[in-house]
Amino acid sequence: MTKPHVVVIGAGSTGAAIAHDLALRGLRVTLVERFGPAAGTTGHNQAQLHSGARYAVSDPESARECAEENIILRKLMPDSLELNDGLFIALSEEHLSYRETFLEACAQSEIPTEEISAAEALKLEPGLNPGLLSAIRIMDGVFDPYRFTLSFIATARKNGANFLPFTEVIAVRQGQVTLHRRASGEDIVFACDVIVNAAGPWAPRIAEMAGVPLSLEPSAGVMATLSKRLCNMVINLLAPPGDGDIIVPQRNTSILGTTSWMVDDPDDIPIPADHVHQLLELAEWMIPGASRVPIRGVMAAARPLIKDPGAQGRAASRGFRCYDHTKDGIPGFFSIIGGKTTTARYMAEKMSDIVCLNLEINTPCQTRTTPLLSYRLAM
Amino acid sequence: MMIKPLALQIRRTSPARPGESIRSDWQEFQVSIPEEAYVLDALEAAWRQDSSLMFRHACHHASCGSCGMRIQGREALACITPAFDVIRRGVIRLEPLRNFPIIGDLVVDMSLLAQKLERVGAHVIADDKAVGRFESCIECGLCISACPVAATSSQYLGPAVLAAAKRNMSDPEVRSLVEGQDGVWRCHSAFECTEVCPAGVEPATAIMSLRKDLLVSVIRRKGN
Repeated sequence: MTKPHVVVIGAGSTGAAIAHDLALRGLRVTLVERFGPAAGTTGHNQAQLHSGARYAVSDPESARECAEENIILRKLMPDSLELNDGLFIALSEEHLSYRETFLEACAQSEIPTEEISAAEALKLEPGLNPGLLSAIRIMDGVFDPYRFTLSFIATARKNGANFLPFTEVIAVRQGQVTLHRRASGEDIVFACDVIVNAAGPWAPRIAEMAGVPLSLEPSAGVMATLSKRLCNMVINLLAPPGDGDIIVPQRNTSILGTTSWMVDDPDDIPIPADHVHQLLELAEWMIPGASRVPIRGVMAAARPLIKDPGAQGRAASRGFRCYDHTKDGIPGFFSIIGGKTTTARYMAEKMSDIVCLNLEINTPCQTRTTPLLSYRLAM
Repeated sequence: MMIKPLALQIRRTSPARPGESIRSDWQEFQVSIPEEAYVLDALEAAWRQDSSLMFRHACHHASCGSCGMRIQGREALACITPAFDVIRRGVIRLEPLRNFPIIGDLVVDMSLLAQKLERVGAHVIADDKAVGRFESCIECGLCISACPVAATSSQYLGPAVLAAAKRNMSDPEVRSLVEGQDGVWRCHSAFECTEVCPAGVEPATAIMSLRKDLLVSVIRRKGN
């Protein structure tokens, strides 16, 4: 019997992790991407390996997933993470009053926290606002989203998956995708048993090609990168998730993030000038002098958030959802929406479980304990 | 925010089809972008006009190293090069990096560089502190494109690889690569690598320092 063939659309962290998961389970996998790896939401993200603390109050399910994956990823890609921890800092009475709620929510989601004094925090991070009132240490870290994705692709390829970058999906129907290869200009038709739509904020466009309705909230965020490393750890404001409340140090730079507003077209996100000012203002409050450091780059990306009539933007869940489009008349067509790069492996496990159930394949997921190969093997 | 027009002239290359030679030509795009925007923003605007255009991009803040190209004839990362800082007579010219095989348009094949780097260095270096820090080098290939020696031989390890090797000289295999015929002695001291490096790695300084260390160890061996 020939192996079932799965086409995964989108080489962001989600699609790459799905290709890795299914290749490990012995399926024939083709991963297609219209640009290179991580060219969309994944590549533009803030590079924060979440401890889960950020979402503990507002979104306990995502928080718990982040906390679990954080520990798993430390074992799978130890050489690709900066394990520098993070601090939630209180700079005002308002922040202090949030402390109790925050610590309780972290405890409920089993997220380790350690309260430290202002003096201790300033010893760890001398650049912080000296008016600091209190700090909580958490297990945040830093990754490189591009190489994070390449590691999944490298490992998937080693296990037989085929990766086709610069390949655009131009038609989708049951058991068949038509691809346009940008380098050669040719169109090729692929027969397959299953199609997984992991195109992030572009997923509705792929679904539309198959005549399937799929909606999400493309919520854009602006990030500004400063040309200096301001801190060793990830610095968060001890407050409900808001605009410009995180500084992530990466290499010799610092990434300030992020804002949040709804956009129509994830391919064209004009950057509102006032957003950059807002980021700099808050960074200046957290680390005095930050706003005088030259800006190295400014970027915006669309988060593919789940559409929820009750909540938009900040309030929308950072969780994810898998869709089986059999109910829409296209058996063997699946979509996955939402999530975080930190939880990409877990998202892939859930999506791949559904795909394997559909194909009546009983091989269990092995990504939890399979170390990932060097990103360089996918370059 | 002021929106301003500019012309992008892009060197476009298609891979050779059987029986044909590689086709390469200039194509001009008229785009309008905010005055503080970067070359990558201009390139994305061009792509919205012609989706066949091939270029790599991911992080947009000089961390992934995937948007390296030649901008106005000089190696740079498109994501951190402000477009109106480099514009000349309303035009910005974009070409692929040199000394790499071209996959299409501005996309080059970095696999040989990746293999060389894999032989000599780790991704995250554990420094004296308890935590590892990401290496400054983002493996973008700008130094290889600018290097006059890399232009003559694809076997030469090249600036980024030698700079990475400097941290691993206690490994005998790395040491013998550095001392070997494709190692530090091939460098012509043009210092172009340090000139174009977007991450302050200073590969040329690393190469000179490796040479000095190797000479000192030879003299010591002879002295004994």
